Amino acid sequence: MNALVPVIAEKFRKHFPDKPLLVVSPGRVNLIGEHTDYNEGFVLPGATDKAVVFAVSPRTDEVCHLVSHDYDQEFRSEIGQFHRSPLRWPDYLQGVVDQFLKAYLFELSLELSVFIGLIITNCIVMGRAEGYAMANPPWLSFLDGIGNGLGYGLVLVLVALARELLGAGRVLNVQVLPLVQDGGWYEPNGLMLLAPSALFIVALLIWALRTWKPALQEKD
Amino acid sequence: MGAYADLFVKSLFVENMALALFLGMCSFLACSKKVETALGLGVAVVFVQLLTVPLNNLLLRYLLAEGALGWLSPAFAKVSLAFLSFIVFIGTIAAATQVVEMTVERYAPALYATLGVFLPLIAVNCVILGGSLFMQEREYTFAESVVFALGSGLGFAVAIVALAGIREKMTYSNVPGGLKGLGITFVATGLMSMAFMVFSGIQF
Repeated sequence: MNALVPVIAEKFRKHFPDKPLLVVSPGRVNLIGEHTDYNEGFVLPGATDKAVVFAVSPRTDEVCHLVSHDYDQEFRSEIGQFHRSPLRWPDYLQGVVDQFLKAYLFELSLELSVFIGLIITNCIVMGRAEGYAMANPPWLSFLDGIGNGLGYGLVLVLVALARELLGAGRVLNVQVLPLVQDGGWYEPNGLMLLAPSALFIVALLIWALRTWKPALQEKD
Repeated sequence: MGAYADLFVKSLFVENMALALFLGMCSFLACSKKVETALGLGVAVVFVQLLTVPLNNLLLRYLLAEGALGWLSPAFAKVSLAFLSFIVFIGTIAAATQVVEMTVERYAPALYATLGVFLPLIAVNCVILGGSLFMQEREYTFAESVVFALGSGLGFAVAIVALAGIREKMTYSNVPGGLKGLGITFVATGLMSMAFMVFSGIQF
């Protein structure tokens, strides 16, 4: 199987300028059991003389460029726009890259921990405790809490709906407005993906609500 | 010094508590009708922030972090009380707010009356707790926590005073009835936040 290594290295040189990291992974058969070894099952795996040889190098752009030696095929896709390929073999590699990106974004999502702690100081909790619950019996306070929580949730959902629709042309991840970059007509509004857009949408909601119910309008 | 200057500018402008992270929004929107009130709240927030973040830093380092109690006995060398950090942080903040409230009531009764409920509400201002939580997450040293407290507190003060200035001018504008007050304040905050985005990328 080591005979494949220089072949792959040569193939890589033909397609890419960089020096690759070369990886050889032998094929494996499980003589007893199948994929139970991580779970303390009984297995007897053996390596075979077949192997996967993989050459990889980092890129500066967001393109994922795949070349298969055995199939003699090429495939390109852009990160964030992975799609199933009729060639089928790139799907597996795209899936791996996609999961790596999700794992990386998971790190980012850990940064949200501060905001989870900040629920302590969520004003709706303090506000309703001071404004209603302190002067009313528990059952009514419970209903007040449910109502206010639902109202808060409704505003969150409305703002998120507007931002997703206008910012990416999607509703709940379903493409509603076909984007220009995919051959459609909708040019997504980049502002909607930035945090300040939420303020503008809330302002519009307030405007709509207070036009509908003028009694809520503030006097000078 | 460069690292501290960088941290100061970053916490003051780039990661402005109010306009980049949207923390402390309730008092930000409610106490920004007049520049004078906004300035009072801003100074109170800077003061409480400067008191609580370094204090919480010391408490975290010498009481709560893993192995912090090692000086008591070797048996405590692996004890971590970090799960208590929320309660300890809130306790410190509530105490500091109480001190500020009593001081303002004694020496600036007019400001005390205008700030009203929003002075004690500094205790649950996201800027204050957020400051301590960022300090914990980013593992600031004591000196860094002082710089960060000053920068983030001043950032909030600058933002709320600027918004109050805009709102004072806006009393002369013809705002549509439905947008008057809260609505147009949201719009102004959004525009200010977009303006503050230009600070991202500044480094020393």
